[in-house]
Amino acid sequence: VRHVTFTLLAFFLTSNPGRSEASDAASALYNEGNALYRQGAYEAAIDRYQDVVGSGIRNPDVYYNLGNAYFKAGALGQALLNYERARRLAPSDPDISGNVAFANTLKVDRFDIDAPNAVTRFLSAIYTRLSPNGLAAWVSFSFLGICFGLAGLLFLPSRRVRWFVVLGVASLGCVLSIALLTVKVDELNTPKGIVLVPETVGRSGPSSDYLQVFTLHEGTLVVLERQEGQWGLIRLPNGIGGWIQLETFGMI
Amino acid sequence: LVARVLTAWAMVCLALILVANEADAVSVQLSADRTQVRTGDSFTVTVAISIDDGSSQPEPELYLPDGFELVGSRSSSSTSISIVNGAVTQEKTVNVVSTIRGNTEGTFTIGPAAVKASGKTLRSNAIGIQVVKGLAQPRTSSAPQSQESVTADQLEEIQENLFIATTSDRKSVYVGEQILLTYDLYSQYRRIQNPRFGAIPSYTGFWAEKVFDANRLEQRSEVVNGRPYNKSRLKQVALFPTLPGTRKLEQLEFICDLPIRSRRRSLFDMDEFFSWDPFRSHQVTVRAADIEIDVRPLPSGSPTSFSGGVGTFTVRADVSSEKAAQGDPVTVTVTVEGRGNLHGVGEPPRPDPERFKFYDPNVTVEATIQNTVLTGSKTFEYVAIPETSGRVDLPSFELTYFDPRQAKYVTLQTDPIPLEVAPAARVEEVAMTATPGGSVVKVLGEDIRFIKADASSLSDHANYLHASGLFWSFNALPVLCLIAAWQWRRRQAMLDGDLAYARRHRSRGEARKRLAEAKQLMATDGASFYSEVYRAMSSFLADRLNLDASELTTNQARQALASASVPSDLTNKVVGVFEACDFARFASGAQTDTDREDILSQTEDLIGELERAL
Repeated sequence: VRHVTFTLLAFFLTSNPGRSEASDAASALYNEGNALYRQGAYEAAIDRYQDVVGSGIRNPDVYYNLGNAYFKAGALGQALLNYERARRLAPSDPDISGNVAFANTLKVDRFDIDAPNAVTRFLSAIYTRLSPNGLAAWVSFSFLGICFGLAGLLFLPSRRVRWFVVLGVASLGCVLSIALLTVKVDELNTPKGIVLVPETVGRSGPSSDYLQVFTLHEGTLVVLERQEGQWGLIRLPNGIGGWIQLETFGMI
Repeated sequence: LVARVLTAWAMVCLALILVANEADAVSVQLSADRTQVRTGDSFTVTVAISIDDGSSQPEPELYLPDGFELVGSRSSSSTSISIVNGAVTQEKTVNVVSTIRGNTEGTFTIGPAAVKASGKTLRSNAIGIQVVKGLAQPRTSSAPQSQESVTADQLEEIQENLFIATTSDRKSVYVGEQILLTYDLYSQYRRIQNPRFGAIPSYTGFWAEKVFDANRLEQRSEVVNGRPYNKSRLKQVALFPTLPGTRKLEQLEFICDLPIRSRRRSLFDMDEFFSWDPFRSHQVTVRAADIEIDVRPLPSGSPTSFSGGVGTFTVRADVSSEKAAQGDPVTVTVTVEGRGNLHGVGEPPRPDPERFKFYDPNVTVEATIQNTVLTGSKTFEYVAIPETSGRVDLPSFELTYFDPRQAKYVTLQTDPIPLEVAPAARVEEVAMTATPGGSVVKVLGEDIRFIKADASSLSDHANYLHASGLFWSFNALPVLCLIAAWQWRRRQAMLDGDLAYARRHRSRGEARKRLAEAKQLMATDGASFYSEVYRAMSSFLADRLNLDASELTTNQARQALASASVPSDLTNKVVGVFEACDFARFASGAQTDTDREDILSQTEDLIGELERAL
């Protein structure tokens, strides 16, 4: 309920007049896309969904369905790109995570990264499910708790211990949620991309004259670190960096 | 420290040697037990040194020409006392007896022997030795048990009566083909004492497997060249050549003690007579005959799957379980059984590993000699991991060996083994139990999850609270509330505790209330209006200055305002208001509505000004 409240709050805070008509038009396009998808007309469905995205509405369901349509149309890179976009907006959606995992089994590139242990997996699952808005709400909530505790101390000093406990818990929650929010926002602002072409070559510099460092295949997630002309320095999950052409991948 | 001790020790040793060498030698004599020997036979050379008694043991140096080897030496000494013309001479004789073996034919000079004494070197005489060609193989030699050695004639006699016959079941073999080598001892002696093996051949260039080693001599009669012999099997060995070419085997040595009848030379030879012993024992070394083996290389054009086996073999493959799971290892055992060089059978080439991943095998050999042929099995135990699921055939292994009897390569194949490979456990985790006791729902195929449902409206989700200033400003609300509450509470506390503060705090409100009442009285009751204005003013001043309002006269007000350092024009205005009110109260009716409105607004302004000033 609180989450919904804060989502609504966020909606009101940033809403502007004229949004509702646009939303109606967008939902009509979205539903049309869904109908085409059900008929198996994936290319046409992609067009509809892309129109919704073009209208400026960033909705996880739209990206998810668009990813599905791309997947069915055989474009693995585009599918993963849109799944990742959807996941960014709805990190706790199991459908999105499921399809990302499934699509990832079909991509070519593998990275030998040590499997995380149970504790790390548990913590990262919790972290993944936390949305930035939820964390912001937690920051506010715990801050309110601090104020509440202070007020209690001021106005009902006979129950000191109780108020100190409230204050301690709220402060801890506040610090933790601020830290997590900072990391989350940082991650949100990290420019990431998905390779869209079947194969591309990573080079040691921003030109095709440089030495080949690695070969990447469709669907691989890369982190963009720098841009120079038509080339971008990307970093792979295993830490290897290289320059690939900007047109070969799409930003999430 | 250790080095220093060692140095000191070495010097002591050196000094001792020097002292020892300073024996005062009188004479040195060299003699040999015979002057003609056969090659390979040993003879003794004695260096007799006569020295003064009391000197230490001399160490003679004996010159040996090439072709002679020193087998061993021992020394003995004796002391003799002689009295010549009343003079007593005590002399010590040291005999150094060296056993020497001549290996090359020819005439040689042995010696002289040199002894260092009193700083000078004494040399002995030299002796000539003729070495003639020794007996043909097999050879027999004897080492003397006593000082007396066996003569060549005796050796020849021994050789006829005691020899080792070496037989091999074939003279020409392929590389890897088994040769059975048998050593038999033929003897006409009844008593062979203390039999034992001397040097055992190392069989260079062969892989040797022991077939039989005699622990004791079991004699059977056999006639060789018309003469009866006792035949004893000494040793049997299976050899597998590893390299082609003609190979000469090293000799096997057999040592025993033989009783040898000593010849009585003469009845009058007292020494001989007294030492007469019809069965003197001599140590005799018998060497097996040389044998050459012709090893042929394997024919060219061997198949690629040839792994080195020579003999006759069979091959089969087994698997630990015919049901397996994808990614779980199964044990595949390839067994090569048969007769031949099992140790030389290499790993059969692994089948094309498209559906299985094979790890390096664990190899065990179990081989025994059955009917003088090496027979057994070699097992290659692989760990194989199926990489696909479903019904998978374990491919066949191919073994190629060389059959020396047919002189050709033979290729065998194992039967393919069908395996039922269950899908990997990873996939099974997806399966869920449908009903208790029912069957588990199998995942038939994997696909992406279906699209999200239609929506009547689409909300924009990319509105991040953390990016919104308004959101964060809302967080200031509780803080502001808290501050406000705290302020209110502080004021409340002050009002409760400080009368002056309370009066001061309430002054404006009170005055305003009175002025409002005055305004209502303005039109109806002039006197009451002025008295109300007066009270508003006076009580405001009294509240502000914490004075008693009833005692506040115009003069007191002037003094109090002056002491509160209120500007004099303001004080004058206050006094003006008081005076106007007093005047109007007692002379009512003279004032117009305008006057009343003036005084009211004037008072209101004045209260405002005074609030700031006080």
